[in-house]
Amino acid sequence: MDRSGRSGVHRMQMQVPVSRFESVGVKVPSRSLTTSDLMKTMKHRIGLDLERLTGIHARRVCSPGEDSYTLALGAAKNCLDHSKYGPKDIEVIINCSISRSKGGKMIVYEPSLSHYIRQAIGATNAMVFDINNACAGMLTGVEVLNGYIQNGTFKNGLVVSGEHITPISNSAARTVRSIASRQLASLTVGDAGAAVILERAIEPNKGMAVSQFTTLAKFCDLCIGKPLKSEIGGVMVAKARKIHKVAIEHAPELVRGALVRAGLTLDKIDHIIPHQTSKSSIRKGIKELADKFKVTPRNVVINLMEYGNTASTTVFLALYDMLKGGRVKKGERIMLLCFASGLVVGVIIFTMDDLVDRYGIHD
Amino acid sequence: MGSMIRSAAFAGMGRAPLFRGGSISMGVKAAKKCLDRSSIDPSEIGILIFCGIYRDENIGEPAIASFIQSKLSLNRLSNGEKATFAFDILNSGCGVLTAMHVADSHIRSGLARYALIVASDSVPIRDHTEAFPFAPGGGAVLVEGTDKAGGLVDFRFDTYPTDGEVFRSFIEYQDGSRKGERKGQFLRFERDPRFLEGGIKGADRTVRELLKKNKLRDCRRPLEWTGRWWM
Repeated sequence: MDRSGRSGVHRMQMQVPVSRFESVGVKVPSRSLTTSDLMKTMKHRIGLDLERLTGIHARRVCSPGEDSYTLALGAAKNCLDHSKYGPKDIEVIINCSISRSKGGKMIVYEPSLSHYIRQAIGATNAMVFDINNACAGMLTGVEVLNGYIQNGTFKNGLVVSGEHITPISNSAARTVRSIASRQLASLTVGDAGAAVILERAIEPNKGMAVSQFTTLAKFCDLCIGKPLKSEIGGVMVAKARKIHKVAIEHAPELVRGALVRAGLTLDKIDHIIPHQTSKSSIRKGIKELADKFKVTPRNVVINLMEYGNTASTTVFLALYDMLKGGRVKKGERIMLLCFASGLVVGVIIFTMDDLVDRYGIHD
Repeated sequence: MGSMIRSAAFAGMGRAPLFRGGSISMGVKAAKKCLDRSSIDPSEIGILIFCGIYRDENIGEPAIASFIQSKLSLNRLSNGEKATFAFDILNSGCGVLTAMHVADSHIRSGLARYALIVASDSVPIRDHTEAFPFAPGGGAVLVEGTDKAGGLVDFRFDTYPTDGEVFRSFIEYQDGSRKGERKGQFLRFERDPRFLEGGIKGADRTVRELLKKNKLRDCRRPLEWTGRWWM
């Protein structure tokens, strides 16, 4: 059953139109900060090899003049460069970042960041609004746009996010005193922007097979991020071990539900792209899935070594790298999997199609 | 399949002379009233959208909707049969209508049967907010799918780029280096005098276009009256 109370079979019988990813774009800052250099800025020595623990060698960090808005805008432009659509063809723009910095302001509430993106790219016919759903933001934007496309409200749309999230690393570097600190996860984040264009799929068998999102609100207070009062930047307080335990406990059933709705089994998935937190967490989570389903996933994508955890943009940054590196083929099935504060579990399964032709190692 | 409003509720300041309620508590209060009036099984709610702007302690994550879902005890854990998906929409004063548009779309696509929309705003941090220009309040609307005629007929959203900067709100840092200036991050508001006039003109044009598209007679009162009330 899904959130409508209808079974997947019922929905398939309804021949609901599906949407497909038409284009993917990213923008990452040029400045790179290694984990060892970040650890040198720590006020207290904690005796921890963070790189070994997380697998994160470096992350990209905004330079002066770069912020959430410029990263989102750069990703939107890159996405349009790979698209058949021009800015004026875009019918809706949804910005989904957690961070909302722009032009020296730490957080911009009004107008929405999508409003500024609309103006900057010249998408004069687009409706705009922002979504906030922690690290599940972009996938939530895709889910909302998928709903719009399914019922014909819009034929296409742009989901975009720019994460300037490393200021939380600075405050963590000042306050983390031990490996048990609830701000430890703040040292794993990196800055990045990502964007995707969705459109209505012409062939019903191609495109998004299923999307399924659930909020396990019992755990809503396990990770909270907010701006600081007296200092610049923000703070993220997370019970990382508990989150990991909850994700391992609940994710397999939710993944199973999505697979059943799509009429698939885990062995039919060619690539799993999970939210990029740390190498060890991802491996443990995937092992749990493998044990529960008695199937070893064919390929689990991990790209956090050079980017860290880029919040709402991780899965699309990884997808973009796969497309650019020619590591995904037409006809292969991909599962996007996110775990985010809330606690949100989201699954999207889609089949790679002609999208792959516009990328590649020589692009 | 279309959608219609099943119930709605408001939670205001109450009788307390100095309102101390946060945005989450007001949102929860409004949502509870709304659900009580609806007589539906709350576990049937497929999506919960929070669309307030000024949130307790300026929380950036998780979505405020997840706190509200938790406090309402709405499918706090998925049991395989019932699940709620909660997220926030930010779209200035258009947040509620945007959320209703999303809810209508989700319901018509068969992705949800009921959608609960909650909005509430209050001063996030009293001594780090300068001249908060709004009265605190919370509201909730329950939207349901229907096969009957009527309900939500149509939506229209227009963006007027020239007016985008006439009302701005943001958090900015000041280092306390100026005389009399405190150090820290502060929520601030900037309103251009053209805001009222631009808002009325834009709203009038959008409503006119929507009525024309749906062949509905324009029998509104002059928008200036409404404008004076809500600005």
